[in-house]
Amino acid sequence: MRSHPPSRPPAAPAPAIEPALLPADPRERAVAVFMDSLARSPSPRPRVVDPVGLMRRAPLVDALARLRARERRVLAPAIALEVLAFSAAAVVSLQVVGPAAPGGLLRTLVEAATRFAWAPTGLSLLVAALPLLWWIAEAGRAGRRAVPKNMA
Amino acid sequence: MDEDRFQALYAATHARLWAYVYRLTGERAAADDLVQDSYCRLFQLPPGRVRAGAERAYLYRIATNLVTDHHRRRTRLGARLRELLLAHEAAPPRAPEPGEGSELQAIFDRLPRRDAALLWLAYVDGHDHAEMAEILDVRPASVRVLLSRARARLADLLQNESKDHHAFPSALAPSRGPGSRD
Repeated sequence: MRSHPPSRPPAAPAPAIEPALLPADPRERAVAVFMDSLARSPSPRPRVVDPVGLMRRAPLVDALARLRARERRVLAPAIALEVLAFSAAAVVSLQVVGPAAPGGLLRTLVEAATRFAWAPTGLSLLVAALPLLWWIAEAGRAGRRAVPKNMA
Repeated sequence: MDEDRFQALYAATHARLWAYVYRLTGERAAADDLVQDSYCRLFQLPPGRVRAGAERAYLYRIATNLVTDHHRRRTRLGARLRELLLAHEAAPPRAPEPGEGSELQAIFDRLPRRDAALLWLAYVDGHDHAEMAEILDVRPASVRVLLSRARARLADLLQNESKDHHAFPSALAPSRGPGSRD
């Protein structure tokens, strides 16, 4: 059972290829005929929207796009800071608990965990520091560019 | 852009822009959303940002960028890495929409996205090279070369399809009358 409205080509008519305009090269002719067939092949209907409604919605869409762009910019540093905070807390906890752990297998495990817990801490520190280093480098370059040539 | 000009542009371009976005995304809902976003963004541009007469090309450019973002959001990390390493990437596989010419669209989907966009703009929408350069953000001198490569890739695809499967004779028969509809 068809749940969509009957399909039809887009409202704008697809251009027809004049036989005289078909390229002589068979490969190019096949491409031209394929594109013509694709343009004429059935496709679903577009949703009809009042352009006045679009104009009213435009500021909201723009604001949303800006918000999403800002979110994307802060996402990676935010994740890195989260990992940093949790792994640093794990390192401190293990350092405190480690000496008090009873001997044997448990102590060995705690010592190994203490050693491994430094890895995410260091890695996330690096990830958090990279944007800062990049920002400092960009600021320095912009500062140098700002100096007029005759002053340099 | 004032409201009258916007409405005139909408009436003149909506059907063709929708068809372009639909063929690049292959999803009706996505095409609806992306086309509406494109018009909203064009309307929000500060006055003087787009020179008079270039609104259509700029609208297509916004839509093309939104399609690229749409595909980036959908592709997995591995595919995105491949996209970074290779200059272009084919559209991800998808289920056909009801009512579409799925055999032809399946071949079209196998082209790299930039090739598909170039071919559609040149063959169906009839943009000139300068407009295509503006839309795809490439140098005007490069359009001829890129279009030639895209044409060669599609011709290879069509040749392979006809050789291997004999599945798309209607697309490959050069002698077919151009006026006939599928």
